[in-house]
Amino acid sequence: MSEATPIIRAERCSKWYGHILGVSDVSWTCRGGIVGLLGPNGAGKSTLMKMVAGLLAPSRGQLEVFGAPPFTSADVRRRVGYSPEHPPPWDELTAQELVAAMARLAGVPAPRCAKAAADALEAVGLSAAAHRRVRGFSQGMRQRTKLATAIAHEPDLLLLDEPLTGVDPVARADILERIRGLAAAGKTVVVSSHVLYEIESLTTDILVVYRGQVLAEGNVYEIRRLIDRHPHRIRVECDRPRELARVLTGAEHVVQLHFERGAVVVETRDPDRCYDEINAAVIDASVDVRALTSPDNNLGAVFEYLTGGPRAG
Amino acid sequence: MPADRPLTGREATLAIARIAVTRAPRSWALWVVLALASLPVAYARLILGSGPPGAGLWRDVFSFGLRLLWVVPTTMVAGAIGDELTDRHRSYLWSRPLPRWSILTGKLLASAPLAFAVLAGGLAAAFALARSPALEDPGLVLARSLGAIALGVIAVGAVATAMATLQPRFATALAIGYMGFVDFPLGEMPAALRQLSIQYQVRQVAAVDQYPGSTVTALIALAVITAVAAAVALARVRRFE
Repeated sequence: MSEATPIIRAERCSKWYGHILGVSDVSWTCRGGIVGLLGPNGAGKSTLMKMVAGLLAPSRGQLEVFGAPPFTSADVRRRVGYSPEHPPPWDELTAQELVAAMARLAGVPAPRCAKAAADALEAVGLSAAAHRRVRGFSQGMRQRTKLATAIAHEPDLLLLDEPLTGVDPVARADILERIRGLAAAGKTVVVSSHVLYEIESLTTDILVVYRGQVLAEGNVYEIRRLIDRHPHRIRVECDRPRELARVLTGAEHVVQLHFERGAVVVETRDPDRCYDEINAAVIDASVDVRALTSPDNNLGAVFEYLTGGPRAG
Repeated sequence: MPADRPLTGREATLAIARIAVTRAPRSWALWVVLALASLPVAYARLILGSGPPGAGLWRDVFSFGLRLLWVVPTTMVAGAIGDELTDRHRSYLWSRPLPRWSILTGKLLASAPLAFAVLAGGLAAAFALARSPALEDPGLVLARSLGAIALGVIAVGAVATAMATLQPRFATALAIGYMGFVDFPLGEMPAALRQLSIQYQVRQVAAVDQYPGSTVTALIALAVITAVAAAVALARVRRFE
């Protein structure tokens, strides 16, 4: 594989399950780092991941991972660590036994599997529970076990399908930190989620998947440019939101105003002018502003726009 | 600890078998079949309670024990393979660099000998009770019976594997259903159709059928049934997504 070969290259990939469309005409190139696959449940994220992991063959189009098709190339699958959405298998085994078995099946030489498993469990913070059966684990511990099975053979590409599902906030923060650590160690990590802030807290490099199609790809700010035709939102948290709204009502660039608890949200086609007018109103009407944010910098807003959600223009 | 290279089919088969053997004593299935395997002993005791052992007692006990072919290898093989073909397990196993057939062979390698050991243990214990003084060579009778059971387990294992690849979620029920509602009636038919029955052929090999036939024919029939079932399983697993 040459330096220029992308880690993942999908060209017009489609996958049908009988008559049901899994993904449609997906073209995507991944060159490394952390990539977030973002989309609601049933959008096609898992299907895309399964194709990259070599579980499914594309019905149409081309998919290459490290320059070869993963469905037919065992050598490619050896370099991929996949943590599926499903709970770990064989939960009668202890975490140590399970991770060692998975490492062996991934090609780690038998005498080195126990050490590989112990290292992986340590990396995900499960050393203390290594000799307990997975059946008795909490949801958070199971997610960590899944992560350990995915990293035990030291793959170059990690595919993590909804790695934070059902995890409590403390474990969530810890798992996110560990995923960042893996990327810092040079691994390419593809993480899927339907929860916007999970992806946002990991990366700005995202792929928005919806109804089996890639709706947008790239940096969140690039994606924001794609949706420039949509109004920009500014949320002003203040003591008298109705007074501020009264001042802004009637401005030509203001598309819509609505109230949230202790705040007014302005949708405008001219953000710069709107910021100036808010400043002026704050001074003229003596409104005490506590916070001023642009929800459009949040992936949530981008996602809503792209999927034609409630805030789409 | 990076993976050096993908496992060969043989290595993968052994790795899968090792995992299955580790899991077996921790699952309910083994304990259920162990309990079932004691039934021939109970049956032999029941018959002995009504009088001294006659020449045909072992045939009766063996025929009764043969019914365990419906349940023991089917539960152990179909259940184990069906599990691995469900979405949950497949996601983990098939993303590994393994030949897909090794999942079937690994499971069979672990569960078929275990199923045979369970059945053989129960039947050998029953034989110790039920053997008639009239038997000329009890060692040979027992060896032939257990050999027939071993071949039966292999054939039923192959059929159960095929069933598991056809319908993983209901593999055990399907395999037991096949043995009880297809294979058993076939074996009772007077026509040539009974040649398709595993249970009939096992009785022939064990030489306990009331209408003795050719052992060679029985061996060939068992080999053909096993080969056809294995071919179906391999073809299915290759196309599985």
